[in-house]
Amino acid sequence: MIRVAADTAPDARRRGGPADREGLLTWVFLLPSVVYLTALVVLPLALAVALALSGVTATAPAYRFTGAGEFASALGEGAFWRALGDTLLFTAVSTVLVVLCGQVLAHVLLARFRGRWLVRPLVLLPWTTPAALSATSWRWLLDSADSPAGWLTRALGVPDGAWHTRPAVAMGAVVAVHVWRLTPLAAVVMAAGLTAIPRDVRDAARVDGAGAARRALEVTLPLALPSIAVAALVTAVLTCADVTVVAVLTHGGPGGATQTLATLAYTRGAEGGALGQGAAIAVLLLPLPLAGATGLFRVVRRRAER
Amino acid sequence: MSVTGGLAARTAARELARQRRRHTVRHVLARSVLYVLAAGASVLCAAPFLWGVVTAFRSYPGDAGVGAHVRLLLRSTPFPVFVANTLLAGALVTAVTLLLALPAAYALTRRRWGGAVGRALAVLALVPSALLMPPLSWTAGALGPGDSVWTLVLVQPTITVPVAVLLLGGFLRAAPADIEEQALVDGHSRLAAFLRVVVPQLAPAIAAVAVLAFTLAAGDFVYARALAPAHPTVAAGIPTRLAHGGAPLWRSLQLGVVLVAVPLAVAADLVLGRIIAASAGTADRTKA
Amino acid sequence: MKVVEVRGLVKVYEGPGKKHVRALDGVDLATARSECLVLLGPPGSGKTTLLRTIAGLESPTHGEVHLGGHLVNGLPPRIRRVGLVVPSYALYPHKTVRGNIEFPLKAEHTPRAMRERKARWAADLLGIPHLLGRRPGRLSVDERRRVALARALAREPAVLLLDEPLSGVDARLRAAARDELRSLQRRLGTAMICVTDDQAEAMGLGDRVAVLDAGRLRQVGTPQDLYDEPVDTFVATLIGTPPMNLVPRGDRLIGFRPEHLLPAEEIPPEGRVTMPLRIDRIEYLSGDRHVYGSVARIGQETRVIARLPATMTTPLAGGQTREFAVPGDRLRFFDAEYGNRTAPVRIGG
Repeated sequence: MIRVAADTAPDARRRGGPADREGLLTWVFLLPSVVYLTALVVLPLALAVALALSGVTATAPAYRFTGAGEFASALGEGAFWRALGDTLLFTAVSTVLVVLCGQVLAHVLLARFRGRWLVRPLVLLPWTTPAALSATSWRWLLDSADSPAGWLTRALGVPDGAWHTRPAVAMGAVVAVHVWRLTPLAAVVMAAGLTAIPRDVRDAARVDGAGAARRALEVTLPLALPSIAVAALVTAVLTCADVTVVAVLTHGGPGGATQTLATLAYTRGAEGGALGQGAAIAVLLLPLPLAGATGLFRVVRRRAER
Repeated sequence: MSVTGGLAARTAARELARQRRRHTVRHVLARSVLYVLAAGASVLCAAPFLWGVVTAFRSYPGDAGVGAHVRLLLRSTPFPVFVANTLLAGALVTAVTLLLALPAAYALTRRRWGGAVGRALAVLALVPSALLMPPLSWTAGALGPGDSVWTLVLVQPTITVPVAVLLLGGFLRAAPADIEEQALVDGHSRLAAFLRVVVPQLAPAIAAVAVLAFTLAAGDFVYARALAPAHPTVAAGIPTRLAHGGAPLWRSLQLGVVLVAVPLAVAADLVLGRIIAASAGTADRTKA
Repeated sequence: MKVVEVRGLVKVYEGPGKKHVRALDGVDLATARSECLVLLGPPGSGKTTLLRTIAGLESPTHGEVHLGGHLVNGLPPRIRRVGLVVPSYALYPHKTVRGNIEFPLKAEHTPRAMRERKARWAADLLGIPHLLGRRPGRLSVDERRRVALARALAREPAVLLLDEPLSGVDARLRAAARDELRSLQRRLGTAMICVTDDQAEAMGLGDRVAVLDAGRLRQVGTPQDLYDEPVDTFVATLIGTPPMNLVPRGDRLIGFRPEHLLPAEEIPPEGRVTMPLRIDRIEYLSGDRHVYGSVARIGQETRVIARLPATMTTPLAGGQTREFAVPGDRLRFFDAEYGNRTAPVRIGG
C-alpha cells in the first residue's frame, strides 16, 4: 500500500526531454519547410528581380548589371501590351465562365443519382490530367476535321485544320480549354462551400415556406458567396499565370494573338534563352496574382469572422 | 356538417391535390435536369479523351487498328521512359512534400500565429512558375544536379508544399485536439503524440494530400520542360517530343494521354470527398 | 379536431452496407388543437424522424400524414404551414433577427407593413424586441432559442414542432423555460409536438406523452397514465427517478414505484404485501431518503430502491434488515420474457 503513495507522485526522474518542449518542437517542425521554401522560392524571387536587371542569356550566363534596360525594352514593345491585354481578357472571360459552369457542376458533384460513380471520375478528368496532355488532346480534337470540334469550326467558316490561323478562333480555343480545365477545381471549391451550409438551415428555409428560387437567392447564395469568391480568385490566378495551355495549344500564335504575359516570359526566357528578358516580363506579371492573393485573404478573413 | 363547410373542405382538398401534382411534376423535372446535366458534364469533361479513344479504335487506311497503336506507343516511342520518369519524380516529390508539410501543418495549426504564416504560404503558392523558372534554370546550370530527374525532385515541391500545408492544416483543425491531449496526459511526449496519435488519425487526409501532390507534380510542365529536358516526364515529353509526327503517331499519342489521365482521375475521385470536407472544414456530407 | 394525424407510418433508411434501418415501424398518432404532445424515447428511437416526416423534410416509406384533416404526403414542407425549431436553432447567419423572423412571412408574400407587425408581435411574445437589429452570431444560446421560436410562430403555424427545445438551456433555468413555453402555448392555443429524451422534461411539458422505442410506439397517454399504468417494463423503467423496481418471480416481474415501498408499519395492513429489505446505504436527496438495498421473499432476491418522504422519520441505517411493504393495489405485473403488462398474481403475505 506504500507503493501507491510513491506512484502518485510525479515521476521526478523523467523530467522531459527535448521531445516534450512545445516551443522547440514547433521550430523543429517548421524549420525544414521554411528553409526549403526560402531557398527555392523566396531567394529565386529576389534573383528573378536581379536577373531582370541584367542581360543574362542562356549562351552568356555571366551576370552583368544593365539596370532597367530589360524593363524598358519590354514596356516599349507592342507584343508586351498585346500580351497584357490578352492576359486580362482571357482571365476575365475564363473566370466568369468557370464560376457559372462550376456552380452547376458543384451541384452535380453533391447530388445523389444513379451512375454517380461513373460521372464523378469523368468530371474530374480536366482537373487531374496534366494540362500539357489535355492541351495536346484538345489540339488533336480541334485538328481533326471529322470531330465535333471540327464541325463546329467549319460552321464558323474556318477551313479544316486551320483553326489556329484565325486569331479569334484561336483565342476562343484558349479560353475554352482554360474554362474546361478549371471548372472542376472551382466546382470542388464551391461544393465545399455548399456542404458547409448547415443542413438545419436549409431545412429551416424549406419549412419556412421558401420556394426553390427564394431558397437559392436568399439562403444558399449569401452563405455560399465566400466560397464562390475563393473559386473565382483561384481561377483568375491560375489562368493569368498559366503557361502550359497556350504553349502547347497555340504556341502563342497566330502571330502572337494568343500570347499572354506568362507565355511571353516563358518563350523569351526558356525557349529563346533570354533569361533576363523573361524574368523582367515575369516580374511585371507578378502584380496580377498578388492582387488576387490579397482579395483571397479579404474573403477568407471575412469568412473566419462570421 | 353544414353544406358550406363541406364545400370548403372539398375546395381545400382540390387545392391540395393540385399542389401535390405540381410538386411531383417539379420533382420529376428537377431529376431529369440533374441527369441531363450530369450526362452533359461527363461528355464535355471527357471530350478530348473520348475523341482520342474514338480515333484510336477507328480504322484508317494504312493503319492497323488499336493493337498497332498500342504497340507503336510502347515499343517505338519513349512513352514508357516518360511514364517511368513521371512515376519516379512524382513518388519522390510526394514523399518530400509529406515529410515537409506534415510537421509544418501541425506546428502551424497548434500555434496562434499560424494564420499569418499560412497567409505567407498562400502567397508562395501563387508565385507563378514562369517567374521562378529563369532564376532556377540559371542556378541549376551552375549549382544543381543539372539536367536530371533529381532536379525535378528538388524543385517541384515548391508547387506542392504550400498547398499541402494549407490543406493538411484544414484537416488538422477539423480533427479534435482532445485525443492528442489524452495522449499527453497518458504519458507521451509531444513528439510521440504527433507520431502515434496525430499522424495515424490523419491517414485518410494524408492519402488525399498524397494524391493531390502527385497530380500537381505530374502536371508540372514549365519546370520539367526547362530544367530536365533530357529526362522528360509525360507532361513535358508528349507535347514536345512526340507531337510532331503524322496522324498514326498522333493516334497512338492520344491513347497514351488517356492511359495517364484515367488512373489520375480515378485516384482523385477516391479522395474527393475528403478534399471537399477538408476545404469546408466540416464533416463529410457527400458520403454516407 | 385532429390537427396532426399519422397512420401506419414506416420509414426505412438505407444504412451503411445496404442495410435497411427501420427508423419508424408503423406509428399511429394524433394530436388535437391546443394540446402539447411530447415524443419521448431514447436516442435513435425515431422521435426526430417522426417530427421531420410531419414537417415534410422526410417522406415516409409507407403510411399517411394528415394535417388539419388533409392528406399531405408528397406535399413540400413549404405549404404545410408548420413551425419547426431544431436543436441547433438553424438561424440564418447572414440575416438579422428581424430578417430571420420575417423570412417565413416573406415566403408567403405578406405585405411589408403586415410583416413588420407580425415580426414585432412574435418578438414581443418571446421578449426579444431589443434584439431585432442584431445578427444571430452574437446572441446567447437562450436568445437564439427565442429567435427560433419567434420565427416559427411568426406565421401562426397550424402546429409547432419542437426538437429538443430546451436542450441548450442551462440546467438551472430549464424549469422556468419549460413553464414559459407551456404558458406561451396555452395562450396561443397552437398544437405543439415536442421531442425529448429527458423523461422529466416530457412529464412536465406534455398534456400527453408518446413513448417511442426502436421506431414503435410503446404507449401514449397523460403523464399520470404513463407513470401509474405503464404498459410494459420499457415504459415503467424509462419514466420516474429512480425508476420502477422490478422483482422477478417465476415467469413474471413484479413492479412497484420506490415511493410505494415503505416501512411496513407505515402501510395499512389490509391488502399490503410485506418483504424484508436488507439496507445497504441511504442517500438524502431534497429531504427525501433514497434507501438502496435488496428484497427477498416475494420473488428472487433483487436490488431495489425505496423512497421515503421527508415527513417519514423512521430511523434507518445501513446493514439493517427491516420489514418493508407495498400496498397491494400499487403492484404491477409484467411478463418476464416480453415485458408486457399481465394480470395480477396472488402473492402470499
